[in-house]
Amino acid sequence: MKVSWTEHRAVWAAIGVSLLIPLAVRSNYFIHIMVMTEIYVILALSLNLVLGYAGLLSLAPPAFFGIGAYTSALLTLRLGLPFSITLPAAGAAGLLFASAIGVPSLRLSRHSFVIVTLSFTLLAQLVATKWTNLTRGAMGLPGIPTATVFGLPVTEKIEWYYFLLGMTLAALAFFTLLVRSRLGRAILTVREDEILAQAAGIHTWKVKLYTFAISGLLGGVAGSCYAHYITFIDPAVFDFYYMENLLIMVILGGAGTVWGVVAGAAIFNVVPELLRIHPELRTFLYGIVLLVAVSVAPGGLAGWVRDRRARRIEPSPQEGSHA
Amino acid sequence: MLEIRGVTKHFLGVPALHDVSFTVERGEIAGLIGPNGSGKTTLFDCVTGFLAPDAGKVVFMDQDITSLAPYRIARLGLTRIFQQIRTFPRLTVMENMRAAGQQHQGLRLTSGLLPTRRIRDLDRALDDQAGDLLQSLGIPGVADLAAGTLSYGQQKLLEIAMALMAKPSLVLLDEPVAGVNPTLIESIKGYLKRLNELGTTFLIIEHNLQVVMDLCHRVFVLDSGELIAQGPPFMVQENEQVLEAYFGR
Amino acid sequence: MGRSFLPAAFFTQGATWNAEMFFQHLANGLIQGSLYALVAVGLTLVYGVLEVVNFAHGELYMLAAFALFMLFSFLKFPYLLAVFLTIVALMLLGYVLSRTAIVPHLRRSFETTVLATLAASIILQNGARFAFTATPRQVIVPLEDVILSIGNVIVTGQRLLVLFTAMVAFAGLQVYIRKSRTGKAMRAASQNKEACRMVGIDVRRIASQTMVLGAALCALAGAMVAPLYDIFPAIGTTVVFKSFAVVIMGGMGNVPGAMIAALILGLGESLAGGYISIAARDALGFSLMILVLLIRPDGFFGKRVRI
Repeated sequence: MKVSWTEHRAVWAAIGVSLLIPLAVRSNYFIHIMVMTEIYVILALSLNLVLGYAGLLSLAPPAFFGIGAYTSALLTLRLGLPFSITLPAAGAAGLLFASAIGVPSLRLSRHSFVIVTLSFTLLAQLVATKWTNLTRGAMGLPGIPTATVFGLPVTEKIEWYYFLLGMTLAALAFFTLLVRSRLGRAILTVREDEILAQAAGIHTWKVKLYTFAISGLLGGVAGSCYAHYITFIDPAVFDFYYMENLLIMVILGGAGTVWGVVAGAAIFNVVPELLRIHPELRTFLYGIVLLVAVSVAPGGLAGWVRDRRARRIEPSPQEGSHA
Repeated sequence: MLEIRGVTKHFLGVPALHDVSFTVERGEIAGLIGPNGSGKTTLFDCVTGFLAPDAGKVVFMDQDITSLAPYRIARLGLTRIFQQIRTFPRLTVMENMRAAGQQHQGLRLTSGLLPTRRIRDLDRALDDQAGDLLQSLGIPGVADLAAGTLSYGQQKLLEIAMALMAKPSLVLLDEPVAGVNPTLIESIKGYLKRLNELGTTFLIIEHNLQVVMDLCHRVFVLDSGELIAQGPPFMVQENEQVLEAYFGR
Repeated sequence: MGRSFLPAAFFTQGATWNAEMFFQHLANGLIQGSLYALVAVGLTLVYGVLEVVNFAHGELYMLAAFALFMLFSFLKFPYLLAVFLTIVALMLLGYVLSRTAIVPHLRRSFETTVLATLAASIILQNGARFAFTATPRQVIVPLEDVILSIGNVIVTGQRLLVLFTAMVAFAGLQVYIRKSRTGKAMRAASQNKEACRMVGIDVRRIASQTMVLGAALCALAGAMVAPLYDIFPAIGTTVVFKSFAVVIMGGMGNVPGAMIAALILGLGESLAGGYISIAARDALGFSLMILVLLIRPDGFFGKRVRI
């Protein structure tokens, strides 16, 4: 798939702007918003892959986020491991849990799959709250040491901003390579018509599993960055609040696209923060926006395709005189 | 080449297929006909792994494929097209073709993430094959259009092209010319004949009996899930049971 | 670092055997199961008839509890009147919910309805959080003081009421579905919506009626159970978590299956909580659900919709 020249320029421009933002706007609060935006971009990519490209609604991203965060935090606090190890470990944890959940549940109907992913997220929160010996329960894990990357400390907000900018760009590069590869094509076929995909020789269950596993990896990585950035985590990291934000970002941003989702993550994190909207009100409004969006532009791309097929009546003998 | 032995399938107690047995020989064009509801598509589903028969076996090129998953059967060289048009609507025609063909190049799913020389060669081969097929089927110009925007006839042609990307030995066609204009029917017929001469075997479900008579070497007739006749078209045409099945007593 | 995290958190109860404790656990479990059943049946009914998973179902239960609180503790209505009004209010809400989040999407994809009901759930839960704050409320009901004891097994009046109400509700439900026209239409819709449309049954009306029925059951559950536990906006989530497990265990769309699965879960949780630990009790629902999905994905009693 060729990338157009304008796309290329837009991308470089965006990167350029991102590099310069913290120098232009010196507010620490604003930098914080941008850092959170970067974390959200990675999370949004995780959901986008599963929902926008494979057409599977998964409510598990907060679970992988939280698992990544706790894995990273516990490895650092209990074993003294540095960020350069806990970050990949968190990603691996996300990947492993995603695979574990995915193996039994991806064979099921879509209905059961949504329920299982939701239950998994709720269960993860429950475990984090109750298994106090390990996680200190609701008291959380404070004092997570900040990171050192290639010898440079990443402590200040602005350092995190640039580090995460790098991470986000890496994630985007990986994501783009993935969706343009053969695997990416196979993932799209699962979304478009799973039965036809199988008839074409595609092992759709394996494709779905890989997709889910990668989304777990991305979620875990995002969680790890979050833990070391905020230096404190508690079971609230599994809150459905994150899922709600992600749904808005991905669906309104443009499920199934790359830059649309990035824009969605940016807009729907920055704007409510700047407007100082109270988190509860924000979620409430998101609920309304989601309800409206779903009615007007139903289910994002994935649902739209299935709608078209469902609504197609028996085709009248149309002429296609090409012979 | 394809042996169907005693295939039986019930749905909630209603027999859709009962002890159906016949063989499709290599290199022929075989027809599967019968009134509506006689179980033809159900049989296709059982052969291609989308349904598991309650009893019986399906043997393809001396291999028992009865309990194999559809994707495995496709990779063995048995592809099909469906009764209702199936494409990947929001992907371009070219992407549809690539998706249909990429499994059969023997790569692992995860390879091709990085564009190495080998991958690029394989991609080019895939594209060439797709281009050729689209050309022979008469729809070269639509390569960059979204498959869902094609006309009915074009989509039917795309379906056939996609089934052929796998370089199959046997293709099951479920009503390939339903709702298609007569000129296009002729060209599809011609195309299938040419492919058959080059070695591809076909089993075709069709209601258009004229096409069946013209195209098929042999015909199998299903009625209410049972095989009631088989033989060359002209013989089957005269068969009383067949006439009864279609037109009643 | 401690050696074994798991056993410490997992097995907290002693293993002493006491017949009376056992029956007490059974009694509690039965009642807990009735609560799950009331909520899960509505959920599975909606899925069975409409093939829609209603993610806002838990919020209906939560709002019913709050409604009862407002009517009984705040406005001081008599208990039965408060219950009645709660049910009416929730039925109305169920209707509105069906018209905004479900009916418009009946012909659309599954993901669309999930997102719509999810959005509804977000709106309702956060609306409640906004209106009522997260402070837990309690409802004190006269029946709390009534104590029935069989041997040494103690059951409070309110809990008995829950059990009794559940039984009456289910009997009524079975009769309604089998005998009434709407019930028959529901069963028809659960088998084939297209056919319904062709014979002139208005599927949208059935959708609303099913939702209203489900909401009524939730309302009953919320109103009956409100006096037993704390009420706060998040209770819908925990209840729906268990309800999903019950629905999966019983087979999606299978009403009798949901009832039985609910009782099994209630009893199981009570015994687990009594003899193993609280953690085991909380994890049981999810574990059983995963187990069922692995062994019999269609549920113990089969997915074939039976209403």
